[in-house]
Amino acid sequence: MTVLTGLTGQAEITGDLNLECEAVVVGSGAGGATVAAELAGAGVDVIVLEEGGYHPTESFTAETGRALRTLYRDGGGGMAIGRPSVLYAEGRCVGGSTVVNGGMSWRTPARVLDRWAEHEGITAIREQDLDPYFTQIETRLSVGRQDPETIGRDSELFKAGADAKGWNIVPNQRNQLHCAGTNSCTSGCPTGAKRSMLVTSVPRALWLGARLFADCRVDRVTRSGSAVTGVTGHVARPGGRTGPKVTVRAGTVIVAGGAIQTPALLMRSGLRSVSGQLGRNLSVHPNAMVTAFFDEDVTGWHGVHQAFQIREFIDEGLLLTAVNLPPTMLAGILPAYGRELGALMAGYNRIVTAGPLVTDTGTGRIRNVPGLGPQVFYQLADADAARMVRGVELTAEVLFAAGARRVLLPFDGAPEVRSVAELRRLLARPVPKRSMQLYSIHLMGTARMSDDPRRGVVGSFGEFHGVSGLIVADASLFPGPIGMNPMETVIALAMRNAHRLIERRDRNRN
Amino acid sequence: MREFGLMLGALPPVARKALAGALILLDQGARLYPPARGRRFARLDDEVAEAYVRALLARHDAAAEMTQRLKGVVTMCYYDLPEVQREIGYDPGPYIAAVSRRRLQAYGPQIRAGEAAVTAGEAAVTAGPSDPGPGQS
Repeated sequence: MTVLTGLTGQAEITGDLNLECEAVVVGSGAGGATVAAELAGAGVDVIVLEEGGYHPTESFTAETGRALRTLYRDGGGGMAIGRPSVLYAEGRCVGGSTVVNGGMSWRTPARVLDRWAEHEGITAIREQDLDPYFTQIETRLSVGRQDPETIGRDSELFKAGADAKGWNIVPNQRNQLHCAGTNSCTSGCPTGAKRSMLVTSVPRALWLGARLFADCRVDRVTRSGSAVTGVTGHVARPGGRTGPKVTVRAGTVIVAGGAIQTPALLMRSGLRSVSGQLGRNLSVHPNAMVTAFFDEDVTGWHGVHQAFQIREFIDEGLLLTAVNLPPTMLAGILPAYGRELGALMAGYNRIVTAGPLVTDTGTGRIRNVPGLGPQVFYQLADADAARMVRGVELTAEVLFAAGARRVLLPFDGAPEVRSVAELRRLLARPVPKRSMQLYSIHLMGTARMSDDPRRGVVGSFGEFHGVSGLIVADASLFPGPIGMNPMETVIALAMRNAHRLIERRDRNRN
Repeated sequence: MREFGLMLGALPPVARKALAGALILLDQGARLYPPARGRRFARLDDEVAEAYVRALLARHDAAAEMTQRLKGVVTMCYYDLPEVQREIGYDPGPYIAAVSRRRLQAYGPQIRAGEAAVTAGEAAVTAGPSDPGPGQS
């Protein structure tokens, strides 16, 4: 097993931990690991606390159930309450969600950055401001296209369908070092080819002198007056048992637990935002899956998780992708039961799954509910529901164009559809929101940036308004959805916020 | 059952209790479903059991939501079993081993350089991607 010097897991912690450092980072995902590596590189004494465990590359297999239990929060079964409810997944392990995401690495669209600059009161956020960070990230994480031999038949069919329709389809940019195409992205990459934080910024931060404590849950950010003094928490023992106490004293606290855990931690710590936006403004990029059956053997798991994106409808807030799901996940979401489900699953190797990702206009919120912890509430807006239906229709159309014989739609009670004409007839009738089976892996916006404290929770560089030394560095920062895979944006903002911290530190020293 | 127990164990205590309670309700609630003729869910034949689940799901209320969740967890656990996966033609182990070997044979030096760059100075971080493409849009 790979042993990382500087990393301590729960088994090695036998008593209370009392630590001191210059900066403590909560979370080791895209934001946290990046900040830790940048700060450690500048000579800052950094401690990272990660609630999840350390699972090295060689422990990863294609066993989905094991992955859900060990790498995801709550077995990957988070649920945003609303009509319809939205199932969501968050990573919880060293490396965070980057360990279990699909490995798409796209820059923030310029139009999104322009909007943030012009309407959200954020400084130094334009394309030219972030370009140097994007360039650095793409080099460090080996961002590029797939080697051709790793593109599976499901992706080829998806592309053929888009080409037949004359739609704009682009090869994915992925953080991968000659990805083998094992299609195990969501269970942890078994080759280490996916350049997640686990194999990049985490070891880099440790190599540069940072210390990382896995299995350590942060309960509170501590303060004295309006300045942070550190964090307190506890060691998480197997089976959810509470272990020894953890106390870290630090003049700088960087919170990077993701768009649900970050506001939940800040609210638990008694922090409030004048804007009233802490824990609000949640976007989820709702998505849904269309399941298509082909006559030919597709064997979609022979090839990369996602190879292409249809960009034709991006201005409508729709991104279409084909994603191969392992049987464990597919069975859980197929709108079928009992023998019908068995019959569908028997044709697993002839299935292609694809779906729309919607840039949502509605928002949700996070609340800490006593006894239950952070709960997510999200109501799908009517306009977004309409876009979801359109996205499902377009996805089904492209799959028919690729040769699908029949498709299942992600709407409870919808009959199997065998032609485009049938599809259009069916979707001409209203689709009740409550029948939609929606998912999310992109959670954003719950500690939004703005230099105006009446509008944003944090400033342009993630600094919490009114509290000195407290920085946010994850997708909570986004003022709104970006309509694109968010990882590279999170990393760029985290890097930028870290550099601002380093500049200030250096100025104060001179 | 082992997989189901493990999956329940991964859930937060409240969700675990709720799902366990829902399982009991689903089982015993079948007695109130007329075609079940007083039998619990576990004792129903396939046809009646399926009709019962469909009737619950058609309600679009909390019971439907919980049934949906239960179905998700149970079917996920079932299709996580290697023998069930093999039956439907999914056996990723040998495939992963083969493409992993192919990767190392084809790109070994670049991979090693890329991995070494993680713990190197900024100037050394030059191991490029497979194909950087024409840039991002």
